Amino acid sequence: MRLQSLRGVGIALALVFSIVGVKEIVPAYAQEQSIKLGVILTLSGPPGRAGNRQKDGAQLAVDAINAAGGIKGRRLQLVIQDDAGDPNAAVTAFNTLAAQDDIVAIYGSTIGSSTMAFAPLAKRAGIPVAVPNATYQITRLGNEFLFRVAVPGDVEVKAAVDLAKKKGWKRIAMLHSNDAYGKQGADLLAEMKDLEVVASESFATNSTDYTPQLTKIRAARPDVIFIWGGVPFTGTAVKNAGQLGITAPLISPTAAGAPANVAAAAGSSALANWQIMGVIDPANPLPRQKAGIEATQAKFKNDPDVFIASGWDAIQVLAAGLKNAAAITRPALKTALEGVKGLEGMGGVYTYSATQRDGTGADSLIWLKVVDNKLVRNDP
Amino acid sequence: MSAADVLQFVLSGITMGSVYAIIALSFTIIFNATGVVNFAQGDFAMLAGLMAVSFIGFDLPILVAVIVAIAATGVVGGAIYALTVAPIPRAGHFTSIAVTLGLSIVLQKGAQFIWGTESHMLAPVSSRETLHFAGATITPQAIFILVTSALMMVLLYAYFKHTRAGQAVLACSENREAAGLVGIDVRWVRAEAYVLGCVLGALAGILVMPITTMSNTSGLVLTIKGFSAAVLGGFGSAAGAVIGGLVLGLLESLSAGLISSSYQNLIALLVVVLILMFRSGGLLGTRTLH
Amino acid sequence: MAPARVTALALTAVALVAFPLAVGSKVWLNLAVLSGIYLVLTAGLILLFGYAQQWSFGHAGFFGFGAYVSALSAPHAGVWTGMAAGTVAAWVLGYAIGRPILRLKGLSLALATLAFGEIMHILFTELRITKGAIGISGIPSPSIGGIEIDTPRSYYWLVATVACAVLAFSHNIGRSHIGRALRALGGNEAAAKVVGINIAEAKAQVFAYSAALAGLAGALYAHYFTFISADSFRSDFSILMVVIIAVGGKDSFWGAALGSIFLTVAMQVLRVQSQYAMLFYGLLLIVVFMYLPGGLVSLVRSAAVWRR
Repeated sequence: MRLQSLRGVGIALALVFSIVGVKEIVPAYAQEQSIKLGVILTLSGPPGRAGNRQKDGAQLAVDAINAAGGIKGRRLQLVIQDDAGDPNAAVTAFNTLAAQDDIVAIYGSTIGSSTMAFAPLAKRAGIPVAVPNATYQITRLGNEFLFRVAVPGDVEVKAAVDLAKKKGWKRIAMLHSNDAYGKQGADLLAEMKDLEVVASESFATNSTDYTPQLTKIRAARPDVIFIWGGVPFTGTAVKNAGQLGITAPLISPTAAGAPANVAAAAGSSALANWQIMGVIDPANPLPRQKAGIEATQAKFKNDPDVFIASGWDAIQVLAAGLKNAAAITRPALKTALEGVKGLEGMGGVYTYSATQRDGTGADSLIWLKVVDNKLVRNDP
Repeated sequence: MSAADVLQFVLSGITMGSVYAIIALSFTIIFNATGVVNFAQGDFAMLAGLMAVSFIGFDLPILVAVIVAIAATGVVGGAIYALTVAPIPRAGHFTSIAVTLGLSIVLQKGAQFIWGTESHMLAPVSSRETLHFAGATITPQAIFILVTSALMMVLLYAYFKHTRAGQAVLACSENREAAGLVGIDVRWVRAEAYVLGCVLGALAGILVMPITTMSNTSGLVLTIKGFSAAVLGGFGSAAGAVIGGLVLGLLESLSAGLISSSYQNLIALLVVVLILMFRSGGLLGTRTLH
Repeated sequence: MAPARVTALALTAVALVAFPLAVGSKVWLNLAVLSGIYLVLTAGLILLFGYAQQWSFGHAGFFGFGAYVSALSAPHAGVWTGMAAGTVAAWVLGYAIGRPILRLKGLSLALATLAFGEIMHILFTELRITKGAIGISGIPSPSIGGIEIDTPRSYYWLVATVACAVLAFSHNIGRSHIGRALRALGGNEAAAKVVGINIAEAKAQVFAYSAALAGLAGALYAHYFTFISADSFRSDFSILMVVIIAVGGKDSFWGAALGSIFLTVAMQVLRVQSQYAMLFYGLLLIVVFMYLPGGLVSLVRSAAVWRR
């Protein structure tokens, strides 16, 4: 090919890209009447698995609300940005969204450090944030613009420890992912008193085999092993445990209760010993969960996991606030959110106040097991 | 820490190491014949795995689905060769790394369109959970990987040494101009080698998927590990690729088991760098590195 | 200087000054600050990649190192001291790592630097002092004479000044005998050695210089966002730097500028969750690298040539 024409191709492509790009940067002229909610989630890279489900859940809720007539006659609209797991990209995304005056609230982000990064800015800008992640410190910092729509990490650890104590499992081992979620679990466990933690190992989320760590844990002869992480490595870890002939009970937090983990651990002998925290029992949904479960199955042909529930619930919480708000503005919404009590969502019942920032807690948790490759409720 | 435990570490190390070795081999074959440092190698593994899942979903028997997936990846590889490698025969290392980085993004996003971001699973070769061996356990899948890798090495050796096509590839790697002069159609040979490399990458993906699941972003890790293994063993050397893969797998597993699981990767990387400091061309030296 | 160059520089200077005055949008100012920070970073990499032909796939390690050193020392010693400390510390680390590692060449060097970047990231994640993924928040903003530099507009001035100074300084190095030595080294090491250039020392120095600039950029980054965590300093970022250099043009400082601006804007576009954009971006990278090995800057140059 002649070099000049190639340069022409290059220039043309660059121009097209710029046009596409500018079109995307300049905020879309959506219906002026719609109420806009900013969304910052991790949609690419490994945490993207959770983030995409959160986005899906939120979009499902928006579609359902719009189909029912919207809020005060106006449609909801999501304005979505991807932070790619980088907290400072989340800050840039936040600044972009907060600069659009018609965005009244933010939902985000998938990983704790992103929310930590833009939380002070949210306070400064006076924009309320629905927080989907479990990093417990977020809601303990006195930032009154944050509203958690998930079970915080310390509640999960306590639930696991309470179960161990109830069953008389004294020697506890911890196997956690080396991301913020896993490490938080390990740190919290280490701080708890009256426990005997006989082993604590971590794994890199991008590694593929956890038998070395589990071999070390097995050597410590624990009564129970906490396998603390998300998707899909927790499932692989469970499978490795079964391969090593580990028969000790295994306990995992809500982030592990996802179809991918079930698939990863399929056929393992350890499945019988695996207790997973969850928020939804697909076989016997609570009345407050039915709408969300039906919507998920209709669109995605599978059961909702904790991430879809979080997305759905965040929108429900924000919608409740919008309905009660004196006006569709950021300060009015924040005040209204503080008044939300007993809001029934898919993943829990949410109550906030001036001092209560974690909408839900241990009451939302149920215990699940894997039976026939599906998650079913199983109270231990 | 018993001897059986150490054996356990060794077994899991060589299992993953074999997968790294296959990917490293595919890097090497492609590099030797075409000069391309393919930073999208792991994504071919990902493609094959996800395609296999789809074909199984179309009710093809597993073995057929797997073979079709591997072949399809080869075809995709051929198309990519025609579009991104053939037009620029004299690209330097830097350019090929940059182009293949872009390619990796395209493959990842393309995979996202088709299969979403979920992790998918491929059933392992046997439903039996483990086999016991001298106090340690090993899964049938791991044995399958080891056997298949060994078989693959033997087949490749035979191909390069004893078939005309294989010898043509070797000739091109040694000296492109001379190969052309003796009548070898260099362009076809380069394309063949590239497709062969893609097929190997695809095989690695199929082998490893039952162990770890695969999603659209799984390729990158495999690329980095395969690349590290290839350089560690001596980039450009096929035996080096194999040794590099096994050494890397063992390093990871032994550091996690014997030293610290949090710092597992750090220790493995440190050892890799130290090895390179002492043998700058990698363990088995290098032929066509610069 | 050639008249074309003078005009180009003058136009750029005018644009730089006019930009924050003309543009009110925080979003665009924010992008400008980010571009400037990347520019400080890539200026050093131009000398390393373009002149000396040594690759580094792990510079996020230095970037993060400078950021952490500055963030941790600023509360005790002040922001400016912190930034200086970050730059110097990165220089030292760069020299210490560079001296041994640059004995490697080509792909071995690429792998070793990749390993270095990963090792730094693991340290950032695991060590207590860096607080891992929770990160360090409340990093102080710099101030001059009592005025805090904590808005995108004020930070723009800071970054623009630093970036221009860095570019001018680096460009001067490039044109000096040091630059010629680096080019000789990059072209043919054996010949350079024959002419009397101390190869090992030269390589370590340029590596250390690029590390120092990465550290400085990291410090600027930390005090702008007032928050850093290990997640900001992954290998993806190191690879992104390589992409910036390659897209802009690795032989030219103008290329670094073009690449930085282009990539910052591109990332902003990509963040708007549109899968098509990302796909298109990948395709664009492929096409650019295949047909414009000299980077975007070669496009501009050839356009200039056509016009004559």
